[in-house]
Amino acid sequence: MGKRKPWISGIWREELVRAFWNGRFLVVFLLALACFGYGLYDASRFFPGLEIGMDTPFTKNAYELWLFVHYRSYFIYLAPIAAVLPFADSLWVDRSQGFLRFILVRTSYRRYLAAKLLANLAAGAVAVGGPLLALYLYTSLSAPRTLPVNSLMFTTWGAQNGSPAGILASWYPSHPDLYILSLIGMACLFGAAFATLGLAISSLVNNRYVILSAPFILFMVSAYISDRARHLGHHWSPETLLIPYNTAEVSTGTILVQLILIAMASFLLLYFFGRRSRIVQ
Amino acid sequence: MRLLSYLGIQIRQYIIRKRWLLPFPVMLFIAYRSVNAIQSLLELYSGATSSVLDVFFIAFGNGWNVVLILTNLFLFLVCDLLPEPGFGQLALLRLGSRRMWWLAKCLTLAMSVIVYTLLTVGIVVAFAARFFPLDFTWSSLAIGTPESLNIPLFTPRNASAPEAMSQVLLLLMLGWFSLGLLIMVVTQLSRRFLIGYLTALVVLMASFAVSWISNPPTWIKLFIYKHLMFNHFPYPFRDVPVSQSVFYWGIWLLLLSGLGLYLSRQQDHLASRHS
Repeated sequence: MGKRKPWISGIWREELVRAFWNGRFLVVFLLALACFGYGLYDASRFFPGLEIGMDTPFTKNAYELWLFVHYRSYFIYLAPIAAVLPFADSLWVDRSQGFLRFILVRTSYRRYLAAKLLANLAAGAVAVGGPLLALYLYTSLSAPRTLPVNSLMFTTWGAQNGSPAGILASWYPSHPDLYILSLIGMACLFGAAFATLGLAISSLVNNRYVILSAPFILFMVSAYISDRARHLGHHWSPETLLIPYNTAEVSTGTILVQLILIAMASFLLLYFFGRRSRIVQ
Repeated sequence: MRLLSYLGIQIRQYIIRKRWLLPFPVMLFIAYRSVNAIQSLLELYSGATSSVLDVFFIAFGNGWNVVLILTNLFLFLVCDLLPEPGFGQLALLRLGSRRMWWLAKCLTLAMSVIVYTLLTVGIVVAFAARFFPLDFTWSSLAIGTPESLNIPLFTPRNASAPEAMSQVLLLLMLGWFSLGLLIMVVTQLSRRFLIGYLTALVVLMASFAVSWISNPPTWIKLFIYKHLMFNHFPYPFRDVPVSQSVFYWGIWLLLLSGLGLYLSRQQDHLASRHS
């Protein structure tokens, strides 16, 4: 019997391995652990013993606990950094350390860039979605998975009468698992989009720290502007890609437009500044 | 005399440079937003009067402003005081004493704190003076609703306005100086100023984050945020006496300056690289 051929080979496999077999993933998971540790501690102190009507404390409902930690753990500020940390600066590394010349002996530049885009996109999605999925597993195992009747989470925050607002909100009362998994899916999209933006910025600038911090700065600045501009609003903030449940105006349209804008900006940057003649010198 | 010359070189090298122009646009924006906030409050409380001091308190008493902008910007301005570049190493040879060298570094940091404080307060006060009277007594707005101006409750009753202002600045200056020292100590250990800067940032951000914990436990008083701020934003009170905060910073300064002096004696300067 002959040796089984790997399902993915060449530069595609190489880039995926480099993106995922990476010490920085550990850093991302440790930082996320710190955030979630903070959130879980906060949940344990949030009006201990409070039971309003049918409500139960956050620590006694897996879904409520997940949402509380998701909201209160500051993970939202870690996410744009987590997305770019694993692999977004790899184009800069290959270019500045001279690996790129050796790689291009064995494959075409177009194929190399496509493989890098895919690997970076996947790494960004896993870096943001992975910790949230791990948190979901933890809360599901550590707290009862009863249906969140008249959610305390959404009663105490934003006066939302016990239910989340925005996109897919109607799923939460009857299908909380599906709702939380869809939030994790959106987080993956967020990670993929910001990781691609980071990679695209690396075609423009030659400083690793700028590459790693620029998506975070863009995230913060655009969140600030959309919150305060008269003709925008919080539903246009990139924060809603991660936390859509506290803003009623968040819809499929607002989410898609933001993702498309980030993707367009990334591909324009790559188109104009990521050409072989500019990158390979 | 050599110390003074070295100090002069340090000031020319680290304070008189382009990045020190950054506080101008940043503070003008903060001043603009603070003036807007006061004007909204005056519309809400018709008949109340306000002064430049109210703008000062709303700008320098807001935790978001102080942590994310003011302190962060200061840390960025002073983050590369160490490691010593090639020219600095030659100057150290001329200075002939590591103790003097560390003293000069601390004095440069102290000068940076003073210049930064004067710059930030000056810009806010100068901008606010275009809209409100330059009056250094409590305004009726501050007496009526101190919490909306980020002034701890009862402060206008118990202290004069310049006294409260000086306490705000004293705590900020002590905090900035201590964080600057922390950067220098960590940079001496790691030989990379970025590590020093990130360490100070983590200490700062962690202390800010724990201040938002529900039903706050007493141990959060050990974190710097409670001592950096005169009011404990977002709460409208202060539950640690100012004297205790000064004592807290005193311990920080003692430990960090001692550790910095010890490390400066162990440094192999010629092997370091300015990264």
